[in-house]
Amino acid sequence: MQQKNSIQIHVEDTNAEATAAKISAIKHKYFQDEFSEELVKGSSKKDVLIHRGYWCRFNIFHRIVSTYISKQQKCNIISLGSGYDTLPFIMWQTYQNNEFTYVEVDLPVVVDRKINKLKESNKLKTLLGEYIISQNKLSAKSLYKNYLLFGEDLCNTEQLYQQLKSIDFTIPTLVYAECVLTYINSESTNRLLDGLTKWFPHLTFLNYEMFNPNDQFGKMMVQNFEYRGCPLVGIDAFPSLQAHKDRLNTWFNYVEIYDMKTLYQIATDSEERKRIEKLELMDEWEEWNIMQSHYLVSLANKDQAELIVNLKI
Amino acid sequence: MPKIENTTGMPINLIIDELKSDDIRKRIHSVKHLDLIASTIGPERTKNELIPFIQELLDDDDEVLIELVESLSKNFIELVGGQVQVLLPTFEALCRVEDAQVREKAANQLKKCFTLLPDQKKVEELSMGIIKRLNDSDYYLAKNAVVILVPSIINQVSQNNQNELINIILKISQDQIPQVRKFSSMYFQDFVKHFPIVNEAFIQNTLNSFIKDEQDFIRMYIVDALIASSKTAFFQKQQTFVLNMFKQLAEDQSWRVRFYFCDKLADIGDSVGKESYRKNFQNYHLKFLQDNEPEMKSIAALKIEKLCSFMDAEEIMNKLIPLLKSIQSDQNPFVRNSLASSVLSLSPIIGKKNSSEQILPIFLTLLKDQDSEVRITLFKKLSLITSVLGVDSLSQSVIPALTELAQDKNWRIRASTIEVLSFFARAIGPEFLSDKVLKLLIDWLGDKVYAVRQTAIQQTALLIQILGIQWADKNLLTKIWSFQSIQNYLQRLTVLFTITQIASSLNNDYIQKTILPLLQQMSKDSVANIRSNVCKTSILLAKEKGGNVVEPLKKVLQSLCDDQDAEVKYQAKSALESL
Amino acid sequence: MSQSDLDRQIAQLRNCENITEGEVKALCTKAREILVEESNVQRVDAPVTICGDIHGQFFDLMELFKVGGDCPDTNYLFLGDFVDRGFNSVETFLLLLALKVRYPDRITLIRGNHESRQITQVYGFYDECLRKYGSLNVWRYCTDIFDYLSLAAVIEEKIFCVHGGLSPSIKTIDDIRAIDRKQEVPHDGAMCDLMWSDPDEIEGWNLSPRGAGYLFGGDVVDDFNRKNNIELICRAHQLVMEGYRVMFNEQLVTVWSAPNYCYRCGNVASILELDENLAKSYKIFEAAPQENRGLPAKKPIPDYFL
Repeated sequence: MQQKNSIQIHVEDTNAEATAAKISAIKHKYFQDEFSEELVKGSSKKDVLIHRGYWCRFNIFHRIVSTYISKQQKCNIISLGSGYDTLPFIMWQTYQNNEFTYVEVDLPVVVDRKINKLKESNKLKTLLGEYIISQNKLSAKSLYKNYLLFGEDLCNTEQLYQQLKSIDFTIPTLVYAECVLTYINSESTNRLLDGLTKWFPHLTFLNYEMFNPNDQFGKMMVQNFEYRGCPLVGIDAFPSLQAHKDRLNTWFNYVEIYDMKTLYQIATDSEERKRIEKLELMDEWEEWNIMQSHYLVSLANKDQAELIVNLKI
Repeated sequence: MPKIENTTGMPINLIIDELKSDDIRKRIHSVKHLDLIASTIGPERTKNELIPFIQELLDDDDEVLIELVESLSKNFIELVGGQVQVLLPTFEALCRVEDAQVREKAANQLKKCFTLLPDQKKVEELSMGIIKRLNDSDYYLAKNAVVILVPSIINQVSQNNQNELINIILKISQDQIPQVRKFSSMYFQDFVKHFPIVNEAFIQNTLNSFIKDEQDFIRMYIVDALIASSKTAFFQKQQTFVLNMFKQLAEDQSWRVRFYFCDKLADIGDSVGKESYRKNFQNYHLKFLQDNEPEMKSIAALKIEKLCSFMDAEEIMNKLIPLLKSIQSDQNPFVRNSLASSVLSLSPIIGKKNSSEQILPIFLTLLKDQDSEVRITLFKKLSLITSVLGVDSLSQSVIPALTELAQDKNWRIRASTIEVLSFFARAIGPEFLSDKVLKLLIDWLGDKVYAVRQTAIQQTALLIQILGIQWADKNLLTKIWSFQSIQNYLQRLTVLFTITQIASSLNNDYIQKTILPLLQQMSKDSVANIRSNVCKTSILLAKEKGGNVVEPLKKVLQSLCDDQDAEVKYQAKSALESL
Repeated sequence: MSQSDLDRQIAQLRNCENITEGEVKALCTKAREILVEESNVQRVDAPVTICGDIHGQFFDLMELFKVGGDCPDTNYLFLGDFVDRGFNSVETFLLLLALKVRYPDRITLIRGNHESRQITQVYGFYDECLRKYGSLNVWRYCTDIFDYLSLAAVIEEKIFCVHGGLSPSIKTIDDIRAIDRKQEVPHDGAMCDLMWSDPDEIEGWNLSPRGAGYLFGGDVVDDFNRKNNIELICRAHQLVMEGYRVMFNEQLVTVWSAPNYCYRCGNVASILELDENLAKSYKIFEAAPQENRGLPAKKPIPDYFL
């Protein structure tokens, strides 16, 4: 039902909050990322559970994208709903000699903000070079690196395709969506996945999103997001891990999928885990388990033979 | 204004220093106390030192900015001695931040400042400057403030400037970013009020472009703009245009737009007039009651209450009521709940015979609804149907529903149900409080949840006021006094709480005969909490009633002065002292 | 500080309005005088209503009082963890403390693992004090008072109440009386275990995944209860989705009193009412509805991963 009193934070504002949470984790030494603070200022401290959760997610995405880039001659990385993500910059920092094209897409209003922040950051200009900004100010290319950032609603599959045209569709491509698809209705995301698998013959798809709306925590989560003004419209269509798997099997032969509670144990390095567990005492075990049972990561590939990354270490 | 007192325990200089603290929590605390700082240093220093200093804070965290705009919105106009122009740059800068709440608040504060500028001749120059700078900002979201500010000053500026402002709004309405177009759409209703400064062609062209927009959240707000326009001469000139556009919105393929339209249907009716509403829009309301979307059926059902005043009895009978039969059995509880809240308002319009034949069956069905929220909603509107059909005929049919609600697992529903008793008691008198109903009341008085017991006690007091102490004595009070031997102390307390609540209805004879023995007995209770309340009840009765009950009550208190429990002793002693 | 001052402060706190720093200092000074007289294992008489973790969820505490009755008409025993996590730790703790000062025989407060300088710096109480008072004085006054809170309680010699659970270093209740409790919660040892341990479906003892305290099984509870003539151990510390959980043949119960914990878990809460004959009644309640949670603008947005 329509929430009359929602305070109208929109989906486009979630990225600032996510980045602020990441910065809090960075400040408490969970992981390193010198670029996030170029995009979002300062921050108050988040809960330990939040720090660990962002660490786990960052850890997985960083490893997968890194591995993918390092093992390919040439490739594309496409980030859907990228927000203020800094992974492309970290990758260029790390892999200076590899050839890869990084594309970031988000809603026009978010991209507008990101472009402004890129222009203001000397650090990023040093890394990426000058920006070539389009007439309508909603897309930017960089001079030194193959970086493309543009604004498009992910529901507009046709326009999305047009904007992607400048890249090479034939080379291996990793598309990832980090906490994006649940905000969009499932018909649109089906169309999106359909499109992506048609355009890119060598596609790997990595996805992180919420799921499991039907238990007490899930119901409260759905309510809370609705109140924020960014309802989880896509969550009911595929409520369980199996449902997500079956859906991805429509286009991909190989699907690896787990919830974050499991991934914390199997998808991260145990020494790293021990290190971060010592950073702060976490007195929220029950909550950690419940919360992380409502987020999943899926990794899908059309062809198992071409698989070069795995969730499970 | 009176000086603000410093209760923080920190010297002012420290609070000022911490505006710059590295620790965000300290900055937040200081920003919360900006008014204290300003009040202490006085208007001159506030204008010349504090406000410019705040400018430097603007490169800060969203959390601090939210507090900042709150703080500045409180009473800063007084704190700068009325010189609001010094606040303008700060509010302008706050219109550019990421947080939407902060931007909107800051824009509204700017509006306020314009009206309060001491030198009103400067309003045009200052406001145009601010609007142009925000509009030209690299940052799209600054246009949010522009659409709020333009309508507030457009009628105070020169012709040239008016044209410029209209052009600005035009560009925003056509912006490529949907969220920006949405700003214009949301606030277009304020813009339209300035017809004919804002001319016919412009209004029509803009609305035409909005209605073709692919985003439903932009089309939605046209409803408000049209309603606003109908309060201007624009409506007279362009009635057909307005009515046609309303119709397009009513038939929009997105349910959100239809929902918004339906939500405002009563306002639409008021603005176009009854005749026009009946001719053009009544059918849409009826259509919505059969919509596929549950939210549509729900809002349409909810609005029956307001919209039935536009319909005549025959139309209600022939067109509306047949549709309600399927709604009363809709599988969605929100839909049925909406019906429950509005269906009874039809009764007074269609009269007794028709209500009895048509509304009563729906009423009785909803009374048995599986969802207790639906039943409670119905109860809240009871008077609408009892005023038409008479309370007597309904009182019996209500009892089964009452009995079920009285046992609902949600305690708030149990508590709400109790209030029905006094409603019927007032209307019918003591016959309503049959043994069956009295048993419900006793059960409520013994409910396991404290708040329900409290509500029951209050209702008991109300019933006694309505029906008289004689009735209560004969039928109810003895049962309540018997609670004094319940094992659980929380239940025994009900005796004392009840005495306190009904004190005004008791006469001294009754107190002597019945209450005093109770109090004497309970003053020997093994649980101290009971004895404490004996003290409280005794002193209340002594003070309220006076006369021949004072002495015996004093004796009760005296007997507790040496109680082993410290709190009881204290209560007894201070009660005696106050007498 | 006069009786009427105290009554006024209680009325203010019930309205979720803060009292001044000076008033907090005076309140804590008075509270210390009362708490210092209480034993490590405080004797409590029936009837009494036992409540678990509150964690700064002020409006849900109001809901608890609506279900259980107001203090002092109802007797209460709170099992600790008054602060951290929720948005109103300050008002929550100060209200309970003020009630303790005003009605010392009607309400008992024992210490939870969050009543600690270290933990409150991580989980929100420290932050909240700084935001609401601008300095750390209030935090200091409160954490000093925490040191004086009892470690456990026994109701009518039959029901043993503690925040966390049992300790391998503690065989009898007298062992607890021998502890010097007036210190920060240690990292290990008996006092720490009482605040941190959890029951588990195991035999004997295991290390706790929390990093402090232990896990203890039904056989340990059996032993302890028999040795100390106890009918029931009543504790809190662990989130229970259904509000309360009975274990080990009704020899132990966990009571959790923070509904919709952290505004996201969707759980119900409970309190355990004991009448004068120790008859038990569990009352379940939900989070206070939005209308009852103070100004509409102030609905807290819980954190999720976005």
